[in-house]
Amino acid sequence: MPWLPFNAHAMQGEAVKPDLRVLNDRPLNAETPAHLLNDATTPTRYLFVRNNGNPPVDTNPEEWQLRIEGESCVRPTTFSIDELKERFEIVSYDLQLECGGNGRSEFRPRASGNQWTTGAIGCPRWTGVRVKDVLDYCGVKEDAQYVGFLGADTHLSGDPNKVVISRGVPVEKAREVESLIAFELNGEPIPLLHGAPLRLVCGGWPGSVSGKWLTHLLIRDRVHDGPKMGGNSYRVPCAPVAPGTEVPDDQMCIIESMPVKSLITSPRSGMTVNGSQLDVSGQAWAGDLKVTSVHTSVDFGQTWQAAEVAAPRNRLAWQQWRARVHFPKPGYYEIWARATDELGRSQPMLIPGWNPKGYLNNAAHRTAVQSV
Amino acid sequence: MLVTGHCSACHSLQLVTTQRGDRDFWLNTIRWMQRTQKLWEIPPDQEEIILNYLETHYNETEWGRRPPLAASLMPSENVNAN
Repeated sequence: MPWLPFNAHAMQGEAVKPDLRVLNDRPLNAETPAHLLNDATTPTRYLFVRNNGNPPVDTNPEEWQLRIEGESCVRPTTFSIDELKERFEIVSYDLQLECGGNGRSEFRPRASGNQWTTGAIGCPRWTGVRVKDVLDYCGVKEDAQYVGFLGADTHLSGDPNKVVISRGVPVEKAREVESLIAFELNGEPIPLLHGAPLRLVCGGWPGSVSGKWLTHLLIRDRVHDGPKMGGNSYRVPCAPVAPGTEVPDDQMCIIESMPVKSLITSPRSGMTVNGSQLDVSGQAWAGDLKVTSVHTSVDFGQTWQAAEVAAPRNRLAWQQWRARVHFPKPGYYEIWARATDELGRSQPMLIPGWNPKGYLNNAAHRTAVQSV
Repeated sequence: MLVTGHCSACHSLQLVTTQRGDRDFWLNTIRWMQRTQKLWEIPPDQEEIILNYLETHYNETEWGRRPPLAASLMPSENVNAN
């Protein structure tokens, strides 16, 4: 990746992501319209972008180093990317990545932050080495609780010593076979906006645990305490609260698996369609779990019809679904889709539990068509 | 005070305070009352104050649990449906 000044990164963002809807241009945050998420494996150009700071300017993969350390690391070690590739098995998985704040724009009272609608989700193919193999090589002490990350992105204030974001996952999540230290996205070196040249990918959890521009993994003897692990960041009230409630820090809990959710990716919302029936398709996912069914309704939820749901390509990949819907007479219809996970939990029609930062909105997706 | 004077001559102020709308909503309501409900002409300087007051304190609150689909997602026949 060539060296680029920051404003060039923003322009590059537009150049490589012309189809996305930009929510903020500094830092660059952009979401994908639902009808562009129809592919089984999300093409890179359709993968949403979420940045907390500015991408680093020097991401030369030949000089990049990953340092594994922390209180609960037996043998702190530094690896080049080539060393990671030589020493550990290289694996590829389709892994869904969804921003914890996807759907935030629908909360009332409004929650501050990027006003994502439905497009902060994607399921591309990631290639890398397993976090677990690297952890085992470096030795994990019995008291290890969490694996945190540090990245090379820089703070918007320009302060070079200020860490932008340093989150992580419990050791058990880090040790899942699908948790990767990735260097390829869809078979190509990871582009700058997605964390070049190395990033963490822990599918099914808020995207912010999958640190980009990865320089350090910290094996912690406590819940990791980096920036954006505390306060209202990526945390929700431990017990449900009424909309607008102020919640003390000690009653907020870290988000782990994302909830069950689905998208209607075809047809595009706003279409005028001929005839009384229509083929509809989309994606469904459920964080750490599998989706067991998807239902659609064209009468505002009065009746629901089961869709055909494909198996995931691998664990933590989303699942494609399709259905044929029938319109009893010409008119305005909304197609609603609702997925259910393996624990029987499905998507609410209204906005679910309000929380101060507007996370975890998994309300059913709605699209509109005019049947003529 | 102006609202009380002009509005409550005919109807309860509850008919005002239970409604929500933007400036156009309130202006259209006044014009409709003038057109069909025998509301008198309000001097422009007073009307301005009334509209400012209503727009500030009785605007749309957007408190719904689920707003309608965005206009950009609607079939072209329905873009004005909202």
